[in-house]
Amino acid sequence: MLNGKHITIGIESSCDETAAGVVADGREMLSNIISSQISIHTKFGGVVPEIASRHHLENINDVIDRALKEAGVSLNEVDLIGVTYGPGLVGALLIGVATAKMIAYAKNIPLVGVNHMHGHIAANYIEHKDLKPPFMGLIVSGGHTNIVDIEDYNTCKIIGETRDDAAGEAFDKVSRVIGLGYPGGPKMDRSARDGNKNAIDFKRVWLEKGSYDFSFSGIKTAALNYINNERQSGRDIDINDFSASFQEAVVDVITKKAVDACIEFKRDKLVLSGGVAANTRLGELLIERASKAGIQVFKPSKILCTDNGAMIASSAYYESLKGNYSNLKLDAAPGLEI
Amino acid sequence: MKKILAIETTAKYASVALLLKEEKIGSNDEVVFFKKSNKEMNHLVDLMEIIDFVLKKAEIEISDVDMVAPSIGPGSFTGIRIGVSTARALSQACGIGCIPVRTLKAMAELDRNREVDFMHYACTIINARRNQTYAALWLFDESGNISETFKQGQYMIDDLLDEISRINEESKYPVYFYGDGIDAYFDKIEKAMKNKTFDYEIAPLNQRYQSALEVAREAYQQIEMGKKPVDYDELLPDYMRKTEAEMKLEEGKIKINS
Amino acid sequence: MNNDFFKANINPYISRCEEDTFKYARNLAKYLEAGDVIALSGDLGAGKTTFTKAIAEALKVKENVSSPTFTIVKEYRSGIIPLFHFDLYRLSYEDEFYNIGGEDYLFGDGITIIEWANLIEDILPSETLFIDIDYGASLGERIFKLRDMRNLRSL
Repeated sequence: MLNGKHITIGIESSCDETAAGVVADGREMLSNIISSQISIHTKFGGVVPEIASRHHLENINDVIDRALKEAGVSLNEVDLIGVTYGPGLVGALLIGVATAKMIAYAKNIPLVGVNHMHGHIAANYIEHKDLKPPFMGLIVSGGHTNIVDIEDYNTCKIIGETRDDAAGEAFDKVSRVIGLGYPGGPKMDRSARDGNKNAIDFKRVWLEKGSYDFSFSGIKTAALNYINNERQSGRDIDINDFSASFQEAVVDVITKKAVDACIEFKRDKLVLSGGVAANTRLGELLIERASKAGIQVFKPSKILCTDNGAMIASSAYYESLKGNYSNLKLDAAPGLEI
Repeated sequence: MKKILAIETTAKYASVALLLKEEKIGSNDEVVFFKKSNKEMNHLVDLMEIIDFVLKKAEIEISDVDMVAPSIGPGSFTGIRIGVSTARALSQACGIGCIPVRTLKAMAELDRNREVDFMHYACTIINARRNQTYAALWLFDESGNISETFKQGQYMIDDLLDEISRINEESKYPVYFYGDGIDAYFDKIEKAMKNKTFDYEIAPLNQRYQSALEVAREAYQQIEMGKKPVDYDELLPDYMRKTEAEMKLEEGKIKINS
Repeated sequence: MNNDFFKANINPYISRCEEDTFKYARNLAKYLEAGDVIALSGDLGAGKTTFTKAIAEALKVKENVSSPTFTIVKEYRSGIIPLFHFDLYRLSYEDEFYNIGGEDYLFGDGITIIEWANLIEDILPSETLFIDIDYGASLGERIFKLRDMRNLRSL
């Protein structure tokens, strides 16, 4: 406890990032430390984050330390530890889980294993203090594209998911081929703002009627074919128009399905999360379509969109309110379902 | 009294040893609490439980431990990382110093169970797959002092066996083998050692593999020799794995320098 | 995998549509055992994940097999043999493969399929089966070529 508030530290190491964040009473963010953001400024000075990523073992203790310092707490004031135990890359997850279990044991602090996807949704509890379930969730990231119905805290049902590539992944791959570089999503977002979204008509893939699933590998292939054809014919490609058009095709499908899901399942709130939640056009079109249907859209600030520890802390807090704690046998679950 | 918590996760079974060593002059009293997991490659699930078990048995709080000594490798990448992360976390949470223990050196402690008082070699071998080993050759003198012959590292099994023969040509000391490298290269070892002029022995199964007990002993020896514990941010794994480029460069050449 | 497999399969195999790819994978899956490693190579969009989905279906995996580009590896344990699906597209150097516990999968209890395996070609087991997927002449057409590491030649 600190000043009468319940203190949770959340630890995240499911894929690329090593992160830790401290949250008070489940929603007030006191600190949010993400390893790649430190690395760029201190250790490597401008090196592409991907090379500094996944050094979880070397990063995790420092990241936890910084998170505590910035929040102005020591481990003695921490009431709860939350750690991502899945889904993700097992070699990364195990660092977080092993670390969290020992700290919890050594300091006699309760421990909650958190589902990374629930964490993304919980990012919005930090951003929007009055947001409460039930609502429809839309998680869009490099590794996931899911529509999930959230009935209660940490209680989700998958309504739709990708059958092949995730949206963020499609952005990254196409971005690399067109020469926008890394990171693909944000670069494409910026380029698209100066382009015409109707310049090229990339065929949307809707899948069978009534399905809320996604498939982006087809549009990825279509985009790559377009690039190859143009290059082979010696024609210049307007990168901005290309970005805007490709992005539009992806975002068109995501937003329509998300809003349709809200209507079918009678949810008047749509909560966006994941790395791609920061995409300008996605947010724009989603709000436009949702408002027409009387649905309110919530999304987190940029730092809470990417993988981070504060969102894990928030999710852990609500899980603990239900009395669900983890024990010393907590294992990494790389294939954890929502 | 020194309380050292040793962690071993580089092999198939996780194990933990709490070594309590009396520091009074003239006293050699020690007590060890030991627990090994009974499930293969289940380190992440089992480790905290077996740590808890030995601490409860010893009736010691984890914060009262003086030092944590993890086995830092080589061995299973995943296992190493679980042990080292756990040790770092303990150090961070309780301000406890760390004594990193190199696995091949800890394994040499298995040889002390022989209690022999003549010069001999102990060869500790860990399977690195594809005819590779992580290996070390330890020379024991009559008083049980140990020295490293060539630099412990990653070597091709054939090169290793040739080098052992070459080193031992004149001295002809007995050579005792330890480690899961035996299981992987049993036939090669037998074939290479069979017709030599020196004795050799392959450790029986119950004395073959590293455990936290050996790690604890090695950690204590390090402390006796003046090794200072390090902070958690200096506690790192020692995977010992050569890059493929390095291995290609050395193919066919004996790369073991005494 | 033994020589019977190579004798029984047309190589290279031309797939004119997704169903052809599924037939091809289904047939190949009959010969797969725990410990087998398949290294897939091919350009973006060539169909590496589609091929893996087909193998998964043949192994009766119940979960949806989606691209592991971001998580690097996904495990599927609901089928008759565990299936580990790697995508090394995002790895920068060989050692990263070890750091994520890659070796434990390669020598583990399941079938490993690796997309963009060129990064670790040197450290793959000698019995690894290499499958190159190329774009064919017409739309939707793909060419599957098998290579066996032992002989490092097309079969």
